Amino acid sequence: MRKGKNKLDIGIISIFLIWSLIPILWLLGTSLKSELYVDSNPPHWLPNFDLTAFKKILENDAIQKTLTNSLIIAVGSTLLAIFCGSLAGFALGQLITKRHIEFEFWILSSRLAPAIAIVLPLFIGFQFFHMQDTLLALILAHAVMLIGLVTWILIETFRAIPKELKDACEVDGCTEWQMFIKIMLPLARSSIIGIASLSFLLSWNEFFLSLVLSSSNSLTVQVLLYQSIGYQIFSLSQLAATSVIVLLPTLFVVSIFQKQLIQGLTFGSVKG
Amino acid sequence: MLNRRARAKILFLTPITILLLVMTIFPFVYLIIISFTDKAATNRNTKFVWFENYIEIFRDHQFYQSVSITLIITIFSVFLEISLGLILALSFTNLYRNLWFLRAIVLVPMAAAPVATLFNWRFMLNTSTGVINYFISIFGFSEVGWLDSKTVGLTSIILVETWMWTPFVFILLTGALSSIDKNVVEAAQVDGANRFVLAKYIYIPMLKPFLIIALVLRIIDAAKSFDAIQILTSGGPGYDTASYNFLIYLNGIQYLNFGNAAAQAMILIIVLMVISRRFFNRLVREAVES
Repeated sequence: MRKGKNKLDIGIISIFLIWSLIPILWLLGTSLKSELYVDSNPPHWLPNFDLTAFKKILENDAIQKTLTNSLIIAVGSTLLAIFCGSLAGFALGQLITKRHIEFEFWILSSRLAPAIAIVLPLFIGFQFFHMQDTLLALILAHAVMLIGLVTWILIETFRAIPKELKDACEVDGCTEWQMFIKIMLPLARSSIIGIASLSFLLSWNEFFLSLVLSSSNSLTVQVLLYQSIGYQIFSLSQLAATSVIVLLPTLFVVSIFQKQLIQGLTFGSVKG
Repeated sequence: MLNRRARAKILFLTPITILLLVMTIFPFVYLIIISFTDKAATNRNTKFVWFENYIEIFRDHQFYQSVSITLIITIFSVFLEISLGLILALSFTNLYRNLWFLRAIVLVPMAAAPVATLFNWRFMLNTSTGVINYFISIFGFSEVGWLDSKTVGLTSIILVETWMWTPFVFILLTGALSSIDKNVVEAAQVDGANRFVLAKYIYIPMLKPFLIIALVLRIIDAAKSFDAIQILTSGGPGYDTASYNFLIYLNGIQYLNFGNAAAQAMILIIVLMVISRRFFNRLVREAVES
């Protein structure tokens, strides 16, 4: 009886999966087509599995450089955000028994504020300090974008660790620092790895801050891809191949760290 | 003299405080200050003009146009995202299975790099070579200039935004639905309640707080949407699809009118603060109670 009733649900879900996936599959298909197949009329629905575009793209100097930049920025900003976030998460989740809601909301509000309001002064400020278009400037800007989310989740992570552990440690006479390094970090490890992967993804995917703050030296692959759309530097199948390469971290995080992804993307309002 | 414990707490909070001070508080204070000046790349002697930037904004017809575009994009896309996300979340719940693999697929549009997926949309929506126009031509419809005019361009932006962000509403609501008491649902089904009765009297009332969270977070984000406009239409033709946030970007970063753009950004911040204030109060209250 239930089976018949569920036809509608299965129908809705199927339609939605098609609507979600077709554009991604079309992109993948385009990246695997030869130049002549890409915008032919009528279109070739199936790719001819030509890997030339991927080969050309991975040999291209500009792509290699921007991929490296994106990697450095994503790793750097993730490390910085995790460093600041785990220290603060430990302090607010374990050391301080009373909830400092104002402080926590100050941290989270850094994520809700419009990016343009911060990026405009940073754009002027980085020029003033001769830091414009450096990897460091990008790492700092991305770390600020991540810090609210990372700290918010880490506060909850550390708060969930039983307080008795901390008390027992205190009785044994260890310092707060030893407590943090030897007990808390190992316990929070799996959660930290998940949040770090999410941070990496968010920084890697980031477009707006990078568009404003990087121009040549620190150009990220996202901005290079955007700039190439309007010009004839790369062919359409090469642009699609670049897009597919850019999408790889997403597939990795979606398949392995789904819980943290869900928690992070919904501001922790769902436990995943 | 602070004791060791208090000193430790301060030390642990020092890195984040420095980072946020240097990268958000100082810039924000600076933004407020320059919003009262005529600072621009072309202007060597910056001076205070007080509220002139703000007055100028309200005199500019572009302000009203971009605000109406922002409202159109926000209202339609958030409405579609919430309705579709709700329908989808209820369908998944009705199946009573943990379809984690399908859930992962649903997440992809939101988790994917926006430049990559938006490039692909632009490519598919292309008037002469795009696959979407070819597809509709099979059914005898004529070519549509998906990104070439105001009304159709905005429709395309709204649909692509919906494609990207419906998963957000979906995961927020499925998370909430997974905690619902199965016995209540089964009892209602024994009494002959069909899907619509279940949705109306059990699921939706229970989801109400989560629908509000989804609504507020999506409004805040949709009102700031930038990527889709920048990549699909670049605000064109003319300024026909330029949202308010996009206009600030053009004004401040492209035309380097820092003072004026700062004032525009201040207005956006104030409006977003008003929208999220009630919501924040509510979250604070819940946090205190828990």
